[in-house]
Amino acid sequence: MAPLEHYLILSAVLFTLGVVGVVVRRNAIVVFLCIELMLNGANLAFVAYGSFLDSLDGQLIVFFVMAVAAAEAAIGLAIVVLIYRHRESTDVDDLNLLKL
Amino acid sequence: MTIPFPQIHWAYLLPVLLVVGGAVFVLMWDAFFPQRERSFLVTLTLAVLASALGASLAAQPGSEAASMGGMYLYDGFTRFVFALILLSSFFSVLLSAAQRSLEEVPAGDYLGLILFATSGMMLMAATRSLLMVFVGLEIFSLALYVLAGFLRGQPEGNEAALKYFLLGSFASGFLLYGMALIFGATGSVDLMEIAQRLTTSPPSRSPAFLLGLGFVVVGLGFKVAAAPFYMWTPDVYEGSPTAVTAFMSVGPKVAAFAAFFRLLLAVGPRAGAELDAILWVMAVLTMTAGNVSAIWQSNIKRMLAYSSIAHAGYILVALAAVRRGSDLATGSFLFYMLVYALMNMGAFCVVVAAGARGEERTRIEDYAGLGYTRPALAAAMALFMVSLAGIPPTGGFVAKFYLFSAAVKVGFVWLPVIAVLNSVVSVSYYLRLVVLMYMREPGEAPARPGLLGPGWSYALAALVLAAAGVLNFGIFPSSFFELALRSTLLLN
Amino acid sequence: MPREYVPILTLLALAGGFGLLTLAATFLFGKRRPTARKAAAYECGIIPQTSARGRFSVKFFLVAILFIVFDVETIFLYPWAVAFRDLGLYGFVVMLPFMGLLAASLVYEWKRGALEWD
Repeated sequence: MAPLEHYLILSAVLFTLGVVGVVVRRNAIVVFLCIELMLNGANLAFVAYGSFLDSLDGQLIVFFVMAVAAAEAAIGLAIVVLIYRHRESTDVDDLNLLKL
Repeated sequence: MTIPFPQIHWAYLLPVLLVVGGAVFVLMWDAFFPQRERSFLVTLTLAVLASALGASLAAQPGSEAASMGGMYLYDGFTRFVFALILLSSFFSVLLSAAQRSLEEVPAGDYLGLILFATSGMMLMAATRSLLMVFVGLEIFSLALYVLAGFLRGQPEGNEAALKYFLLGSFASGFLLYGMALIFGATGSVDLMEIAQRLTTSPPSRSPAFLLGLGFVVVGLGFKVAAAPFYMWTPDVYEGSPTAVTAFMSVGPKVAAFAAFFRLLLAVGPRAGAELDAILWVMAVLTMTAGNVSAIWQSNIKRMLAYSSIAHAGYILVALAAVRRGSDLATGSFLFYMLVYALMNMGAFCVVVAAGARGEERTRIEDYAGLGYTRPALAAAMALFMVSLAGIPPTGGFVAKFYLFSAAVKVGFVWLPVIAVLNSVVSVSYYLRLVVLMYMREPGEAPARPGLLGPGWSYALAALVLAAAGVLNFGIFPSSFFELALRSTLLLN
Repeated sequence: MPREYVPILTLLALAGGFGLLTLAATFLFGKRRPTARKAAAYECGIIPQTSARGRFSVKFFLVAILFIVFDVETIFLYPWAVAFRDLGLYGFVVMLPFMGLLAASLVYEWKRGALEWD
């Protein structure tokens, strides 16, 4: 079995890819995909730690996170559909009605 | 193999069960009988919230606080926070019933979401487990994302919903990753066990633990709109329906701050001075950014958004004091939140009540001369502004006084000084509104006939309740402050 | 440690090599007589009706959104089902509210007309 560090490095890479993606990508759906990537990075860390510590908690938490992520996906996509109906674009730079 | 069954204290769980059951009922009722009278559902929701409040006041916290191995924790702190959350939900329902643009929306969906969000906030505040903190946070966040864009025809609302959703889930990602690191460093997500591990074998120096703690602070800081993670707040507050904005500005903050408090009480005294500096800087940045930006706003909802950021900054002062082990700070936090809930809800209620059908009065200019056209409303607004600024004899002054003196008692010097200076700055924009209402002639066409819609009784009830509370806590604060102080005793 | 990966690498090389070899062989030795029918997109032998790159109706999207929530909620049933014998009657009873909530949300969707296509 690969040592714990490998899993942790992979999870950190996934998380970082997600963070960078959220910052640089402009399409709302892609941004959301990157957020899911962050959550999955955290999930991997939970599972790896759980298996390393001989604790079932890690896996249990991942179940909950997956359920939450699914609900988040449903709501997020519904909001994107709503936005698209109004302005035919899912680019976050077009969200300029409220000044930043 | 036998599996041990979790211990559940049903009387303690009852408030949450009532709210969830009420949410499902309201939702289903509207799905089955969509064309019935709206006011029935509003009354039902208010009754559900009131009975949950009654149930939590009736349930005296005892020595057996933990249900389900600490997943659900009912102590004095929980009890007070439940009262705060239920109170803010109660106000938001009143405001929603009074807001004219929300008259056409499906009432069951809307009220159901408010109740679901309430249950999420309650779960987040009443737990020792980081997992439940995450789940509770997501329950109320998901409901709020939908509520922010609930007026589907309004592009501003949709935009607010998307912004809130993207940035909110981004913050959840940070929170979750931080929890994973804390879990790895200590082997548990239970705050009590984490505290024990930290005392027996100190991994508090381990980089994974500190990094995890940092990420969790980022995630929670986002939810309470602390600097530098507050950028979403003004946009989301401006774009959402006003009643929802009022809800967002109180409920989620109470819940997230409650979780923040529990976290700091568990790890604070052992996690060293790094947190001290972080909290200090966060508090100063938050209140300064909020107050300075609020001065330049021309939209009243944006101004109140920045004002709520500034108030989050004051509460961070209490948080820094709690890390140094001050019970007084926890008590003054609870009292502050109580007063803040009333005065903020009151101010938003005036915004709702000043609006007419189809046109909301959100520009600050719209309030010129309100003191002549609608004296009662203007007087209430003036009271809430004075209280938000922290001027006696209002609750805002007393709450700030307790909060800052708690910080002084644990040895902070500059932090309270900066906070007081900030309060002085804040007087300028709060009183500008008062001056505008009384010293200027009203603009064209004061929309008097439009204001008294069918929901006026709800608005009136909310206004009277909030104003009475703000005045009461300003003049006779001691009994409630003692109650808040006693609510902290069972914490440790 | 890296030795453990040798079989996987071998499999990768074999699979990739076979694919490349087949492509190269047909390119070199095969005869090409393209017709319109042959050059069309291959859809399991059925004659294509329209372009595959057209837009889908947003209704598919909504059904997918509704589906994903229920789909993932079943995740909680797996550990419960595995431990069902040990949990006994208590485990059955405490799962009922959860199933009840799922059923209630399905009824809600149905009453709200979210499950109707038109």
